[in-house]
Amino acid sequence: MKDLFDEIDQERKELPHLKNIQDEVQKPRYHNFYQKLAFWLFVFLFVVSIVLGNLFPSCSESSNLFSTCTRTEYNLTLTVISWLISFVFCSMIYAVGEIISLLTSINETLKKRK
Amino acid sequence: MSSKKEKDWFDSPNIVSLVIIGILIILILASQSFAIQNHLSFGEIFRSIINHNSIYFITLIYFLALRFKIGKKYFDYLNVIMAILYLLLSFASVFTIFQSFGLASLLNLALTVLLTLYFIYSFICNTVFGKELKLSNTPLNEIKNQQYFYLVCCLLIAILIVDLIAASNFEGVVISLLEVMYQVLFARYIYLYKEYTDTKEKRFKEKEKKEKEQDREEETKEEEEFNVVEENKRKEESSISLKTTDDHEETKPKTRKKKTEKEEGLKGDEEK
Repeated sequence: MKDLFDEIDQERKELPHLKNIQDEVQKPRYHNFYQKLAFWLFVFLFVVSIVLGNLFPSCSESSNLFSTCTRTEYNLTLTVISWLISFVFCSMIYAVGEIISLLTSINETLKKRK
Repeated sequence: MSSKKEKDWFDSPNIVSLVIIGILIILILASQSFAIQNHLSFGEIFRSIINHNSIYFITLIYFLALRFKIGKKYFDYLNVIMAILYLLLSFASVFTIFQSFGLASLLNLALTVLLTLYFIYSFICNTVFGKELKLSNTPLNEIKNQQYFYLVCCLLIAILIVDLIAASNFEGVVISLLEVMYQVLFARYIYLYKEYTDTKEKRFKEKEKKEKEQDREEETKEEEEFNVVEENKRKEESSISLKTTDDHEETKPKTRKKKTEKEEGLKGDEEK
């Protein structure tokens, strides 16, 4: 009977090389105002999410007698959810910037042809 | 008679992963029911259920995925996600110290940091990321697998003692016991995987050594055979050369005798 790790070893797929990921991420790109805004807004919201997780702690231990929280802990879930929401919001702003850059490039090519 | 090594249940990754899945299900259900039973407000229940149980829920998804083909195929990807989750947990436990400073929160920080390092040491070091980042040259490898496991167990015993002393009700005792059981088994799962990779490397190195030794033996045999063949050739050549020299020595006096006979014949003619 095969062990769990033997089965995993047979079917495992290797991770991609870091250089491939690095080459893809570090491709030279020109960013317009909206894309830069999206990036810096995400950085700001990233920090705000960390603060939110601290401001609204979660309950790790509660008391039956007082119906209240006796011990709190950092709310990691709220932080992660706010990161996801800010990522989605900032990617929408980035997409608007990308559409604007595509339209300007189309306009320039049309002008050159004239 | 076939000799089979009987494994204990805690030495089998199959059984350990199944027991972890069972404990996680009980833990999630128990913590939810206790929170509802204590008549907390909706916001507090939501926060406690979502925050505390989401980590257990993600770990449950990880172990359930390993039961299926897709989880086995993307095993390294799942391990990277788990390593990131544990990094976030250790980061969260730093902030928890500022919220509720105490021995329990300090021990919790030490445990999450140690588990994060142990997980990366066991699961990430042998992957492509670990080899490219050269994680095997970091101080992570200074501590051995057994030492990591025993450190985690000692910390968990200390956390259990503190939690049991601080527990004010039955729910706290149950939840802390279940959490410690889950974390011990999780550490055991990490230990078993590291043992598996170490034995696999040892077998691979032994195979390489055996193949090298076999290659060397074959080379020495070939050299010996070559040397024997060369000696035989030399012997044959020397024997042939001896025969030819003997033949030359035999033929040379015959020709001389013929000449003297001829000379005698010529002399006789001349005399006549």
